[in-house]
Amino acid sequence: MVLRDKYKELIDAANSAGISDLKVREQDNVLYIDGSTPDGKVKDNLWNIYNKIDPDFRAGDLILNIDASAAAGTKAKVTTQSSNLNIRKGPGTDQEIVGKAAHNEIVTVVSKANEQWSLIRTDGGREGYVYTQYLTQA
Amino acid sequence: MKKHFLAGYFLAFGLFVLILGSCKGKPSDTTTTDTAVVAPADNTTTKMPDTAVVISADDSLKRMLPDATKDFPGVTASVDQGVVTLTGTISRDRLPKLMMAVNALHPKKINNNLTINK
Repeated sequence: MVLRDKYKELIDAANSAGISDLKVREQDNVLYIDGSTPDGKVKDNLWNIYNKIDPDFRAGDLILNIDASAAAGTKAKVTTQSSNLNIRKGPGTDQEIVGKAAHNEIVTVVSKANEQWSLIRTDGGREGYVYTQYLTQA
Repeated sequence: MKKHFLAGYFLAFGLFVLILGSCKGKPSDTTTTDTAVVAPADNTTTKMPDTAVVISADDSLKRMLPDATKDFPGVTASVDQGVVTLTGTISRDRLPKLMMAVNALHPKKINNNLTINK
């Protein structure tokens, strides 16, 4: 229960932000918080709170997994640091690059291949797999 | 007002007698072993059901980590029994993005041994 107290502000914020499927569990001195939200700002806010409680994430006592990636059938914005996003033939960086989506480009999420990769379609009609972490619900 | 209160009181009492009676009528209820399993000793578990924590296997973490860290040159990730250790250097403004990507892989724990420059 000690970790739940340490991260109380974070848990409370997750609860009040209406995170779906919110799960908070403590196991072997690590707290696991999982859930999802369609709002990237909610995720960023929770991460800011995490960073405030545990500066630079040094303690190694929390695994925060908030999925804010765009759902299948919705539009998503390419949120890379600044570069283009590789579109690949299959889900994996070992797969051939079949195209690129520009930074801040809006694409359509066709489906989620797994937790890391999404199948997308660009407005130009190109289809392939991209790393979900770089997609934010538009 | 008083009348209503009295009526409510008698209704509650009646209900209580009814429940008490029905329980007495079914002694088998108290002897079934199922009920003992359902009732948890710790009442916090009833509020928030504890689903098991999913932790990725090492080979799956090793397969996913290069994808998660490839945009962070200078960062090296190693895996041992579900624990991911991050070493190398990173800038402070890029750190949350890296941590988000690694946290999403279902590791058991993350040791952040990165040197942060600014």
